[in-house]
Amino acid sequence: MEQFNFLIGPAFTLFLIKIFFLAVSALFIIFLIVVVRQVYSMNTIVHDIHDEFIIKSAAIILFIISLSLFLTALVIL
Amino acid sequence: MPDIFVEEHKHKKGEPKINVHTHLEHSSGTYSEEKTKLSAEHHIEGPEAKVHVFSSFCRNPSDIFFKNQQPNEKVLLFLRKHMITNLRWISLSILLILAPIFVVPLLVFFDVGLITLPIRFTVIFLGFYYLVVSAYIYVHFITWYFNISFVTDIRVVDIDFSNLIYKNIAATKLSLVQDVSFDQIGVIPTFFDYGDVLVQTAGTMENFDFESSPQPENVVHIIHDLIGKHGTV
Repeated sequence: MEQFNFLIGPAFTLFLIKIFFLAVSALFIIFLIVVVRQVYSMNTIVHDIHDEFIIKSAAIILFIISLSLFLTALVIL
Repeated sequence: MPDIFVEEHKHKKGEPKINVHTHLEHSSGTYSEEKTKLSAEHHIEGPEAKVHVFSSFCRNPSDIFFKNQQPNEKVLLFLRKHMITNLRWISLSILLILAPIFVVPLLVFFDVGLITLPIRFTVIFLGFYYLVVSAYIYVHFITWYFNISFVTDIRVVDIDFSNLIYKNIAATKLSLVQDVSFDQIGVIPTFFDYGDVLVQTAGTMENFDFESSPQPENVVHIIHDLIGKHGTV
């Protein structure tokens, strides 16, 4: 019976929260992939010599941070 | 004796001067060569300007190009929505950034269960919250940044980009433009000098609407002069 105590205890609640968070985080990563693709696509349509690098970098940085957060949550939660 | 009197165009003070050199004297060249020369020598008087990240109005921009731009095509006018139109989402972003500072003490005060989560959960959730806010700011910024209109010496180009999934690029030759007008309604547009510029094209072709364009009167004047030189008005 003891192995089922996990299902009703606070540990199970935290486990559910973790799964929910990871799912939301994964969806957010997919959204950011779309953002990065669109930014690259728009930069081929409008080519700005000076600011192109900043705009692309910001998109990539957001994507990297979200990926890091997902992996961190996977490990420490 | 000339039967038609043509008044010499007098340049008004404060208006951008547009030079058009017609090559009537070079009648030996072909039509396309003349047309190329004609288009190549349209320009708004004034130095070339650099477009920076927050530019919304720029004459003779030197460092921005668009897809399918012809080698001899020169961008005369670069437009984005007026910067003040971003005020709503910028205000909301500031509120969202500051929200945890006020909300967390309230949660502690009312003893809401969220705070009883282990600290590692709180840290990850807070990090994720700020990441979502950053993405919100970034998406709104690029939506503004990539909504661009160009007026070149050959055509008018309107690039619409919204909600990340919609983009539309429309262009029409200056010779097909029939009329240009602008609306400036309200206190804020009048105060900050921005409005909607409507470029009407011939026949069933779609019209162009440069929403919240800065200095709409100048924009109308510039396009009006250009289409006048192309012989439609």
